[in-house]
Amino acid sequence: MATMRNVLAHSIRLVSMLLAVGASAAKDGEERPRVREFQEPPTIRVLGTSARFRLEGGEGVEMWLDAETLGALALADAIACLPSSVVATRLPWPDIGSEGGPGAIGAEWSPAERRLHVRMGSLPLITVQLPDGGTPSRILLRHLDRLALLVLRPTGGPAIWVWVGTLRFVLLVPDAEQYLLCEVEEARVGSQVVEKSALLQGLSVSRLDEAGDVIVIGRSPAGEPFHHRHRVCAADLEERLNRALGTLSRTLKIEAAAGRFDR
Amino acid sequence: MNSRYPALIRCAVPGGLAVAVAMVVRCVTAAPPPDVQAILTQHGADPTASAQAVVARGPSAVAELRRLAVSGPAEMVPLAMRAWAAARWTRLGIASTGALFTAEEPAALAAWETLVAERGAAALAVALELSETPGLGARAMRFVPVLLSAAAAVDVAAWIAHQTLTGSDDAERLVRLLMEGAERTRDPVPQARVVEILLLLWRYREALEVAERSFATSSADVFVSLAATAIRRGGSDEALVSAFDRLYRGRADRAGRELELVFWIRVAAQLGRAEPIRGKLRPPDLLRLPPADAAQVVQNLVRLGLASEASGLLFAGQAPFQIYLRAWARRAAGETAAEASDLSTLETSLGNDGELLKGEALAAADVMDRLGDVSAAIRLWKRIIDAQPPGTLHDVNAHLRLARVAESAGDLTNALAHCEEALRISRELDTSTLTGPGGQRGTEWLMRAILELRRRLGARELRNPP
Repeated sequence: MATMRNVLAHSIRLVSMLLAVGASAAKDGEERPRVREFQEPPTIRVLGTSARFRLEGGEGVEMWLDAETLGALALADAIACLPSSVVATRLPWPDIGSEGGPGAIGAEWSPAERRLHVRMGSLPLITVQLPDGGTPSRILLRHLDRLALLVLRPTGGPAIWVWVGTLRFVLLVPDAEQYLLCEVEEARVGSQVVEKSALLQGLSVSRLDEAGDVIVIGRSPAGEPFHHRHRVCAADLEERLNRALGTLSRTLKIEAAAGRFDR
Repeated sequence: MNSRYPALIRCAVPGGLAVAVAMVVRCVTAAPPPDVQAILTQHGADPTASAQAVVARGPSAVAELRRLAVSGPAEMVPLAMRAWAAARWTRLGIASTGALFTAEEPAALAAWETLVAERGAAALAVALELSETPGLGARAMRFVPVLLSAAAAVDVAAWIAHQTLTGSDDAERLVRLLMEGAERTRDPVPQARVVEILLLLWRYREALEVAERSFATSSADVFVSLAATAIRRGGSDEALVSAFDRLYRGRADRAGRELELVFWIRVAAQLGRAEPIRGKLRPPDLLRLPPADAAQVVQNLVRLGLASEASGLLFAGQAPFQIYLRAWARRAAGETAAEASDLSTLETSLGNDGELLKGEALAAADVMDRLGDVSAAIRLWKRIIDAQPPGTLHDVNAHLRLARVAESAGDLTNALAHCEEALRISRELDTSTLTGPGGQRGTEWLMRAILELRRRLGARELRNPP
């Protein structure tokens, strides 16, 4: 009888241990579900000082711009970008109407070579080579979230800053609506933690080069754990934005030439 | 997760001992069932009192009552059934079911609308009970679209999700109810709403099923994009692969196959997935399609980089629009010589000895227009008007196409002239054959279009006097 009791007690202990191991494994499995990757790139919503006019930039870029920014885009003969890989921080921009000074960005125009040399004081930053054709008289320069319209003298020399503006960026995660009824335990853009509401309505980023993969961890509407990673490539965002600005600038000129803005 | 335990036990200890231990564990861990049997015994003769007492004990007691009514001990079943008949409505806060149960259609619908206005998405629980009440299932199905048009998809989905999280089995039944409701109605608006709800609940397989079925009844574009969303969010192309496998293995002359094919090709095109389609289509798949569908399918195949496959499938096509589509696909595939040969064949296929097969020409012109070759379409529409015999239905259609093109180019005078000519011809024809957009009578629609064009022309002349 005692032997029987011992066997029973031993078996129950064994089962309890196995149950504990099983439960622990299940709990671990619940906490760390397989990461699902989403490859669709996010839509970039570009916002001007006021979001008065909504225009399609193509390739998943939406433009919500003010009249001044639209005007600058329409006037520009070319668009140049100072990549964040060259200068990763915001630089002091010169005053309107000036040519830049010792403590600010400046740009030198060489009409013969069709090159714009952008410098910070005496330090060269980047040289923009403009394609052949036409004589550019205005260039729109973008650096990070800032735009500036520069007037070029036909004879060359320092360009004059005539307008500066700022853009804001919102990244719209594809299919973010799927998280509407989920319990979101953690949401991040790169290393920056964001709220669920931002995930659903759009993630504000001050600079596109700071955007990273969007990670969402939580529980589905049925209460099952999930771990999602939406791939975001900062370089792709930058390229799409540059192309969209170029396309919009060309479209505005075509529309103006066709007299569609007369009314 | 729970299914691991029996497996572990079977491995750890032999036979009967394992079962005994499992039962002990189960008894220790499970919550004690509510003592519903005692309540039933206590109020035995009064089912309403039993029902109220059970409902007061909470959802688990109601679930237990339902279980007893269905599969309880034989002596308890009659009591439980009577109590359940009262409790099922009491628990939903329905004091009187008269209007919902017995009233004629307008009064019943009005009662239902009031209930939906008061309770929003939670009224779905009442629809569920109605659907499970013998003889009232069809009525519940008529109520579901009313609820879907009044309550936001997210509210309905949130309410169902709440049922899931509270451990109630209602969620599954509610999903089935919505799916059945979508199947019964032919209105694409509530059908799309059901798919949206299923997407919000992460029920992607079911969402896809409803989207496919709904597309078969309405061909609405929205189901293509909803289905693509379901596949994208579900993270697997399995549904696409199995759909094309099924189509490939199925009979080419099966009813409804064309619509199914168009649906899945459009979904694949929206997702940019060519692989599930490659090698899975047969010539009849394209050759049986009507012109508009064929144009859309070929356009999607070309977009997916399957231009050569599309032209190969159309190889045996004899109808002018099929020859044009083949030429178009060959152009996309870079086969310019073959394209030129097809275009020359197209010319001869439109008629012999100066005669023009007007019906065939109209179909080909419509396909040209759809694929963006508007100038070629305009030339062909004009040829239809100039060709003998004059004053046919095809002439009316050609005039209307030309009027649309002229109107979108801002040439209202020309558009008006074409509409007036179309009206003149249509009056000489049997008017019962003419149909306007949305099933309107053709001549009436034309007269309204003419009046609208005259009004716009007049307004323009006032703005810009000659």
